[in-house]
Amino acid sequence: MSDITLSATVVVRGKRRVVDGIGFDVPRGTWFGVIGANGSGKTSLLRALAGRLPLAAGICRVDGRDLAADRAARARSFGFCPPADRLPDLMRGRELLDYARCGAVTDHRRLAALWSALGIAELSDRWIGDCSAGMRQRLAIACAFVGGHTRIILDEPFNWLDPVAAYDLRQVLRAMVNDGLTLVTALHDLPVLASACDAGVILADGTVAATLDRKRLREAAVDPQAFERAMIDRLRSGR
Amino acid sequence: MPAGMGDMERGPRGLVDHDWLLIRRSVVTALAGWHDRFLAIVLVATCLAVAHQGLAERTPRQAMWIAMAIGATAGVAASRALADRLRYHVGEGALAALALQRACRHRYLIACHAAIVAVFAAAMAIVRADTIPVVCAAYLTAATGGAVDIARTPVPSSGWRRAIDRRLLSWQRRPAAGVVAAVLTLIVTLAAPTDDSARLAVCALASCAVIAVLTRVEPAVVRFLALSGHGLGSILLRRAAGGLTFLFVAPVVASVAVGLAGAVVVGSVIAGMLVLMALRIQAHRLYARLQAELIVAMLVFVIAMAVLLSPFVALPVAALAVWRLSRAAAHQRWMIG
Repeated sequence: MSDITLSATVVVRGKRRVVDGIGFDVPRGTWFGVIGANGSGKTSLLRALAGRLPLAAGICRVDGRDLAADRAARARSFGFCPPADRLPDLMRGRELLDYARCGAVTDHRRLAALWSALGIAELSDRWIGDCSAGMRQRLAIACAFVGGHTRIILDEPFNWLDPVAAYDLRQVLRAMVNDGLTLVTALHDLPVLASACDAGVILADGTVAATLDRKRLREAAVDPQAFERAMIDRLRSGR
Repeated sequence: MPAGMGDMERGPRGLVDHDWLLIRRSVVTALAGWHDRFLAIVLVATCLAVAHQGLAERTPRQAMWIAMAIGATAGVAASRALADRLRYHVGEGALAALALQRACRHRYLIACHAAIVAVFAAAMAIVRADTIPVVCAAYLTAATGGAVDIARTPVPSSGWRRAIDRRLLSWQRRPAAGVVAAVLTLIVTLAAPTDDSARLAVCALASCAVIAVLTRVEPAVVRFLALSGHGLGSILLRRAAGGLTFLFVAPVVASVAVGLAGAVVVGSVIAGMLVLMALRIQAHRLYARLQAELIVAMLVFVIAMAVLLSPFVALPVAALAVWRLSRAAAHQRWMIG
């Protein structure tokens, strides 16, 4: 059953349609990857899905309800990772997470592995202004989960992370998805898309250039280099 | 209610709490040393004394008009600043789910405007108590009239204003912009009346307007450049190439148009604005936007006081201010990792 359904969605920035008629289904308990060139509309699409931008047209069903016209309901429905560089400098990590949970009770048992992968214990008392880009990214990711949402949107979560942290995070996210989490991520890395996601889309100029189902991604995981070559050709051709 | 949202009871207070915490910390950080606190007290006392002196001598009618203008200007400025802040919360903050609720936004705006009105009323009680009702009414009228529902207003994007803004910021980085600006200043000066002092005033004003455009600072860009390892000199060369060229060309142009006095005045104005730009760059490398602007305002006040004593005193004071911020900012590089 689809947890999230987008159909013919349009996002307008200024006078430009940065997302132009995109549609896809995300079943509950799956990891859905969105990949594309810079400026292809990934971030705008995810921000609109999470209510951070208005949808100019289309359908956005979450758990069966069309929330296209209700930004506040979309924002309540998803845990969303705010941009790491815009976190307030004059706050400690734990204070930020306390605000980000918006009054919800944090399920520490459910999040223990994630908190460990993100190193939240070491960041709790640190001023955000003293954090490196990677540390800020970890806190931003934690913000998406701290409210206990079962649907999470992360925009390029592995940016700035060191290889160990990126690997650990990927493993934990996969385990959480297997436990029922619905995860939508924008990615830049085709091998990660092939190895971690259950399904995905490739965006080009605000439209879906290719849809990748579970079968296609399983094949891609067997020969990631061939998959990467094929997808790069597709991105280059803009189709 | 979707899973995980909890009772939202903290909601209406969440935005106010969040921003109030940041304001308190910005002030505490900006006034960390005893000399900073002393300076802030002197600054506030001086401003209130000057305002009191200015308004006390006015007739009640004149004072009311001035109070109305102050209140209305503050109301429009506050409503714009709060709309910007809410746009941050909605688009980029961790509290977007709250900020997108109309009731939360309204309570946030009411709390902020109430706090600003209270501060205004307290200040006006010292400056001229009989203007309190007028200044508060003007503030509230302007704030209400200028209110924007940010959840309904599209995020500002590539409109013509932004296009012009981008173009100006792009010119600011080009040395040729300084030469073009100097030629424009010359044309404006020569078009002014032939009276020497009038021409000198026009030349100084034109230079001031031009250099203000050529020395704009974008805090986000400054922070990014600092994170990428650029120091003050490198950032100035990258962001103010036009202003630096103008510094060398404009005094020559001014000396042609209005003589040596013009060159000295124009050179001083441009150098002053470049020092201001340097202070802002260093402050934005070190502090969040609000703190940075607060600190720069305090330093500008100190330099202005020094100018009143003597321009020769102002020079080392300005150099000391830049040096002090530079010393602290030197550690703000290479935070990537």
